[in-house]
Amino acid sequence: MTVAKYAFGLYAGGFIAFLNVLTAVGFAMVNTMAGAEAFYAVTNTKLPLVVCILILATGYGCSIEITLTR
Amino acid sequence: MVIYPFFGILAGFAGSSMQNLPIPASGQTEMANWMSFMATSLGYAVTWGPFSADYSVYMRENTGTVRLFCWTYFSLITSQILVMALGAALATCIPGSDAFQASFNASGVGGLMDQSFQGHGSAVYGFGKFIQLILVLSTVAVTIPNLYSLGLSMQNVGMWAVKVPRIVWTTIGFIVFTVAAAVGRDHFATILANFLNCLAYWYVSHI
Repeated sequence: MTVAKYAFGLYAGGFIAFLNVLTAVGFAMVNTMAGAEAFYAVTNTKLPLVVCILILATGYGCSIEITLTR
Repeated sequence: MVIYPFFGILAGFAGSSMQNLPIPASGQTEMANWMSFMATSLGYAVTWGPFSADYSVYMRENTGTVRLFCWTYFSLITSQILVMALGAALATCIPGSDAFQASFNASGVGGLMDQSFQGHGSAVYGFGKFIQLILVLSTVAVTIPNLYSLGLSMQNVGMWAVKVPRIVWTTIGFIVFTVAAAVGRDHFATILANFLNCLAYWYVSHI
């Protein structure tokens, strides 16, 4: 992304970096939903899907924070 | 790589229900559907391009092109093509099977995995639950690079963004995607297709 600034300039490069951020958020969302659907099936659809999403997302959040603070 | 045996076990149990579906009559409509689906699939693979810069492996300048191609092709086969093929093969279980249709309606892709392990006795079903749980946890490996790249990309937006620590950006992103996933939970397939189509238009143009 820093190299992209070399090609596009400071502000346009920033815009592209922001689009990359949106992509990252979207992909994290889609992957979480896929994982949560599988988790939902593991619990025989007894645990609500929202709870599955929250459990998985909290797990991801905790692991990335641990990785970053190490 | 650790996950691969589990994918193999899943494929083995689901294999008896998979069918070789006939290809619909080829026409312009069919061709258009095929093309747009390929664009969606391509969007999934190509989107990792900008992220992969954060985890790149530097090769020597004199690395041969054949060697480079082999590495890239091998990685793409293992990471994308085989898993996508397994997903498509699981989806072929649905037509003509009421049990698979019901489980797909109840819990989507997860339901298909669950249904694959049924009908082999309770011990196999319990083992299947374990396999599914491992596959659920494997999504961590896909989401963590996203969140990590999110922090790096956000710091590139402007000089003001560098002043904020990366962990703050990651936390904000985490909150945003959790809320978004919780709100859109009932429309997974629609959201996935639309999202990947948007990405395909945007990324293919400059890769």
